[in-house]
Amino acid sequence: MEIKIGMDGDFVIAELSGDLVAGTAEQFKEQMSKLMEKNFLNVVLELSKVTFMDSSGLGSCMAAHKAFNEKKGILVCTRPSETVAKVFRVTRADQKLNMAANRLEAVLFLQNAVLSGRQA
Amino acid sequence: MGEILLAMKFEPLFDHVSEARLAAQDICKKHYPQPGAEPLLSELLMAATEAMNNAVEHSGAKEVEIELIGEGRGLIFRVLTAGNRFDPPADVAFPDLDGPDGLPEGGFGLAIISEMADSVQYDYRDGKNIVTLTKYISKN
Repeated sequence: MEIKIGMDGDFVIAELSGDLVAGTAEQFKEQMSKLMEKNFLNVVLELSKVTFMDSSGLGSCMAAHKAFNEKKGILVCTRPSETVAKVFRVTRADQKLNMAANRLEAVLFLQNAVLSGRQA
Repeated sequence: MGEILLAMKFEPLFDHVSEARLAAQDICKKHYPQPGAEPLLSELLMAATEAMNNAVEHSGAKEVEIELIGEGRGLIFRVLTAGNRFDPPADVAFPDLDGPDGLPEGGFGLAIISEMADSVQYDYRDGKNIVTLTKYISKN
C-alpha cells in the first residue's frame, strides 16, 4: 500500500493506493498517528485507488476516525471503490464515518465544520 | 465433487493471504468472465480473505491450506488449518456501532464472512478445522 500526503489549503489530503488489509493496516495507522503528532487534524482520506479492504482495514479507518475525533479533528473518507464501499455499507460504518462523494465535497465538509467550530 | 481450480499451502502470514486472494481472483475471473459475476466474485473473495485472516491470526497452525473448487452451481472456497477445534458462535452479528465504548475497531470478520458467502460451514476432521464458503454464481 502507498500513502501520498498532500495539502489542499489548510487540509491534509491522504491518498491511499493498493490494499488496506491486515498486512498493511498498521502502516496506515502509523501514518495517521504521524499526522496527529504534527497537529494536522483535518484530513481527507482519498480511497478511490484502494483496490481491496478487509475487516482489519475497516478497523483501522474506525480507529483513525476515533483518534482524530478525540483530538478535536475530523477525518473524511472519500470516493471508495465499489468493493470498498460494500464493506463500509454492510457493516454500517458508512453511517458512522464521515463520507463524501469527492474531494471537493470533503473539503467543503471540513471548511463548514471548522467555520462552525464543530467536531464531526 | 467439483473441479479443483486452485490449491495452495502457505505460512500463516498476512502477506501470503493477499497473494492467495490475488491468485484466487485471477482464477475466478477466468472461470466467470461475464461482467454480472464480478460483484459476486468480489463478495466471495471478501469472505475468503476474512477466513484466511482468521486462520493466520487465531489458528496457531504452522500452515494454512486453501482450495478453490468450481462446482455446477458456483464456487467453493475452503480454508484448512491443523489445531484445536474451533466452534463458531451460534449467532454471528456485526458489532454494535452505537455501544457505550464507541466505534468498535474489530470483530467484523465472522459477520463479513456470513454476509458475503451464500453458505458457511465449519467442520473439524482429522485434526483440522475446515471452513467451507460457497457462493452461487450462474455461468450465464
